[in-house]
Amino acid sequence: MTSYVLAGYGVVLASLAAYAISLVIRLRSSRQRLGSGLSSSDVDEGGSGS
Amino acid sequence: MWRDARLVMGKDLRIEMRSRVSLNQVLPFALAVLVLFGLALGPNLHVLAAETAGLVWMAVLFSCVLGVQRSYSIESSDAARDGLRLSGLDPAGIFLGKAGALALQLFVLEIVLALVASVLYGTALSEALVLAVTCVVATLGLSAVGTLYGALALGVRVRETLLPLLFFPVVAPVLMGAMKAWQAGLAGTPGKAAGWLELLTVFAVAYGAIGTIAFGPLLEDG
Amino acid sequence: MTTTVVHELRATPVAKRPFGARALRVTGALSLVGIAATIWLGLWVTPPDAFMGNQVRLLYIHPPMAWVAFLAYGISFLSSLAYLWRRTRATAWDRLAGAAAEVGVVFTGLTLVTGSIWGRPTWGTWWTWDPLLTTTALLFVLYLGYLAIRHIPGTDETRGKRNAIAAVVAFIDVPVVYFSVYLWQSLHQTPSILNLTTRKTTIHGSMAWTLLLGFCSFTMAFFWLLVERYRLAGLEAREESFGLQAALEERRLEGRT
Repeated sequence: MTSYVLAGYGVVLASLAAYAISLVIRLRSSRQRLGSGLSSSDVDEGGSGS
Repeated sequence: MWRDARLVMGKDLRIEMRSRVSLNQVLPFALAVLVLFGLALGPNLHVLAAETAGLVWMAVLFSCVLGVQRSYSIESSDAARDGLRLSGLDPAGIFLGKAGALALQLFVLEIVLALVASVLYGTALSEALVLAVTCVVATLGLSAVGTLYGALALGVRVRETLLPLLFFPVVAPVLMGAMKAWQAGLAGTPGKAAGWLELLTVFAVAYGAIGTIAFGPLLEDG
Repeated sequence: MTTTVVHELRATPVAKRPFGARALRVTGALSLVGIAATIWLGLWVTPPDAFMGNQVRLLYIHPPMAWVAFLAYGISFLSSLAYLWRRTRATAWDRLAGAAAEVGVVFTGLTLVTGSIWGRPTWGTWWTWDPLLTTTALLFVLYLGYLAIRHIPGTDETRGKRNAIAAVVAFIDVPVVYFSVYLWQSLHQTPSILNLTTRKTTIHGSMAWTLLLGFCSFTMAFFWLLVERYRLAGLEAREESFGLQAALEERRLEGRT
């Protein structure tokens, strides 16, 4: 019985973690692209970089 | 608005009568679906007779998707949205007209499907009035949703795959309602269909209203 | 003229002001702590249920998943309405609606999975057609369709209107679907999660607290995910417009040589 419970908890944690990590990665690469894409890189981050 | 609706509905139906695409393609498709359901659920007539309602209405849903595709492909193929908008007709009227034409074609289709199913699945079509009323109300709802989503997916290259995906979840209540109402009718207990018919009516009215209101903004450019 | 537009775009801040950023980080940290605490409480501290045994532990996360999904779709619906109302029309609402829907789909999927995993040992099947689960399944597909609509190309306003209408249609369908499924299966006696939980008359103190903690933690996690997804949408939109500007500039330069 407990294996089902662990499986349930595991799936939830893994999925949410994966989603969160994917968001962070995409945010970082997007900021990089915006920052370096054009000649000057004065994209204002507002001090909130992750 | 109603005048425009009649115009558009007449136009769509006249195109159908001349090209006979619904007759020559959608109807045979629906019949094929019924036959294939028979193959899928085994030669045992008991199962098929018991599930006739569900099978017929699934066939109707599939046919409705095709009908919507067809309904929009008869507009000018490129920039169909522009064509509809520039026609100067009231968008709400266009919606009601196209939905109405589609509904009428589906209704005829359903009559044929009912007769064929009664033969293929060995079902007796008792309480035909209940069955017919269900058809009318359910079909109005299906056409409203279909016409609305058809406009939403206008001019998109992936329309063929997108439209069914959009359409099916939204009309799930219609499927359930029509199926249950038909089951009640076929089982000879038409009283049980009343609640379902109410649901179907609410659905048709609600989505008819939404479609009428939303059609204009959807057609608007930018 | 192109260069001034580009400079304007660059000058607009990408992310929230520092205060917003800190609040976001705090939310994220709190949600992690909360989730960890929920897991600890759920798996070890709380006792097994009299009826369900250890399976009850899944009920500390399954309802929060469903609640968050519903919250997400509600936010999507409200922002879509805000977009459609001319006085408050802004692309930001469209982006919020999309972000909310995407996170909602994630949680809907998790609702289905946790519900199924909970049901398997309890009823012996991976799936039952009870109203809640069935509606959730339909919701899943419904909003997948909505996310597909969002990918259709077009101008900001065309897409905004289209997305908003689609979101409103989808959300309105939810109660209709639930009501229909409820009627549809009420003729059969399929066990439902709702039935089984109402049978539980005594809730041990720590269970109630754990459930509440679960709700709060996952709701906070949701908001963190929502804001990050929303910001990502904003960045991607800017990338798109920058890409457009860059292409235009290139062509202008080509024209000169």
